[in-house]
Amino acid sequence: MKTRVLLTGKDTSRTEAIANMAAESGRPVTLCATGAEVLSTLDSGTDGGDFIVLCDLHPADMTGLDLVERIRNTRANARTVVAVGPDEIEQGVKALQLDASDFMVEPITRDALDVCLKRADQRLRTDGCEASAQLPAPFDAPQLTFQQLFDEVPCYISVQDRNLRITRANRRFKEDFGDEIGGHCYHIYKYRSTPCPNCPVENTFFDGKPHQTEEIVTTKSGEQHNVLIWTAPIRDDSGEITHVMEIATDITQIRELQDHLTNLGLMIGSISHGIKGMLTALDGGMYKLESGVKRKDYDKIKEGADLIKLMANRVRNTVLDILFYAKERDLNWENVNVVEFADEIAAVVDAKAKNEDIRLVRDIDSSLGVFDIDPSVVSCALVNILENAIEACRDDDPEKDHEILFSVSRQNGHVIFKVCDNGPGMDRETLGKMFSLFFSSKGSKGTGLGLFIANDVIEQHGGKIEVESELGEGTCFTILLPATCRWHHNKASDLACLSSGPIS
Amino acid sequence: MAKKILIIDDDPNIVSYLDDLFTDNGYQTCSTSDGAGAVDLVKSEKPDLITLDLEMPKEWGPRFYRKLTQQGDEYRDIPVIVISGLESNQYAIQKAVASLSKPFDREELLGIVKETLGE
Repeated sequence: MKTRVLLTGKDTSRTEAIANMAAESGRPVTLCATGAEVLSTLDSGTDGGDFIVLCDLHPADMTGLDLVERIRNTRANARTVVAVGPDEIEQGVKALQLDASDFMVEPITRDALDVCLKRADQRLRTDGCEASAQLPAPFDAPQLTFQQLFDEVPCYISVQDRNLRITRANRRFKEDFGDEIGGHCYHIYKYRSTPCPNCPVENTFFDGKPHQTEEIVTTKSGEQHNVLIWTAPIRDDSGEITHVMEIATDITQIRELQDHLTNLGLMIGSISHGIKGMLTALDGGMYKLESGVKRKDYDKIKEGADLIKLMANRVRNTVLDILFYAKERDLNWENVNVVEFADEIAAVVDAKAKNEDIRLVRDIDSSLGVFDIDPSVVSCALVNILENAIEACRDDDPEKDHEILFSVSRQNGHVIFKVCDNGPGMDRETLGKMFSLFFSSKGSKGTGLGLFIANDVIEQHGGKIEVESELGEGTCFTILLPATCRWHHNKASDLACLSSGPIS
Repeated sequence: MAKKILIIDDDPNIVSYLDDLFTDNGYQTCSTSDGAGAVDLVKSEKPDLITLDLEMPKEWGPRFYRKLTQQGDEYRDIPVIVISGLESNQYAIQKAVASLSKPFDREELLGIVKETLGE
């Protein structure tokens, strides 16, 4: 005789949906309005029939735990499975202590239901043959310890069914990716609507072997993490793979370090090319100086000396840029007056702008308060951006009347610097690559380090740089810096104040 | 009549250096900082020798050279000396009479120029 499934629960439509799923397993199903109805059905069916009772924690007339206890005390051969909400797991464990066969965490998937019904059936049969034999409860004391370990492992662990739905996950996973048990792995990890190509979980379902991949996943707060993923099959008693466990280790920091090293390697190659050019021009300066001295030609001597000075400066700046990039930077945080800081920066570039006949217009609010930065590095970054604007205007159509607007304001906890010029603007390609290491639109005059470092510095402060540009119209840089950092790292760390809140 | 050398390099300081060096040694010169316009310059100036940088922002050396050789046989025979900061630059232009690495040796360059122009 087939085991009959009795269902009762607070939400009738949900209970009916579960009843339909249970009916598809081929077992006869009875919906009961109340816990009392369940108990009377069991009492009337003591003719040797087996029952599985599916209930939630809130039947109409009694608590779910009461029902479990009272079923245990009936003479019927019955097992209970309790459905609990994601925040009711402790109640589920209590149900197990009261001899429930299993508990399921809502929303209930078909696979989870099948497994629970199967296990309950097994227990009914074992109890029938061997009344004294006690199967271990699914969560006895050592298993609770395992649950704790599962939760605390410093990796993301999830258990997935054949449809790549997450049926269980550890605490760390839930913290970073949400506790949407029953959601699709590819949606939760990557916001995709279809499974990822070459999914290691599907591969493990296919061949029963562990698989490994490296993926970039996005947390619920939008952060990207590089993870190394390993999978392992979970089999039922018959050896069939019912689920696959996926363990993901966060290797973001290792990848960042590798990127840094790769960049350093690239830098040596690219910089050495740039330096060779500078040394050649330096030779040129010396040649001019020598021939000027030989011919007593003062203009030639001056030309040579100027070239040597220019090249020595360029070599110096390049070397300083390299050292700045290669060095672990310790930020020296200071509480700085915004207006004074902005005025100093404007003063630095004012002379250069005047020299090139470009108007530098300041628009600095008078009451901007203070902010937390390392003034030495932030001023370098801002001066770099302003100097770029001056150079862009200088190399533009000489007929045009050039102006650079340097404005500073404060909004939503951020100090906002804007550098807008009416120079030549940038094409899409330049715009896309402008923050890349070694990309320079200035030919032999640029090292491709300036904006890369400026961007790095602003990010290190938890800020960001936005750029808008229109060919022929000009370019606008917006630099947003959080006014306060939640904590100050004196150790160099790219994460220094990333948690100071999203930038609007 | 003095032989004419075309200098192509994107760094105006290097152009100025080579210009001085060749002029002081009795050559005529013409120059450009941009590979893109160099073919026209070759046609109008008819140089006897070209010094060519490889990495230039608008059009890089090998592309200029290919375009030049497509203009006709008389352009194919103009000797080219590559002067570049790139490693292994001897493979960039097969027909180059010499490939010098920056920073180059002044006397070596002048020696090659003299030998190539047959003086």
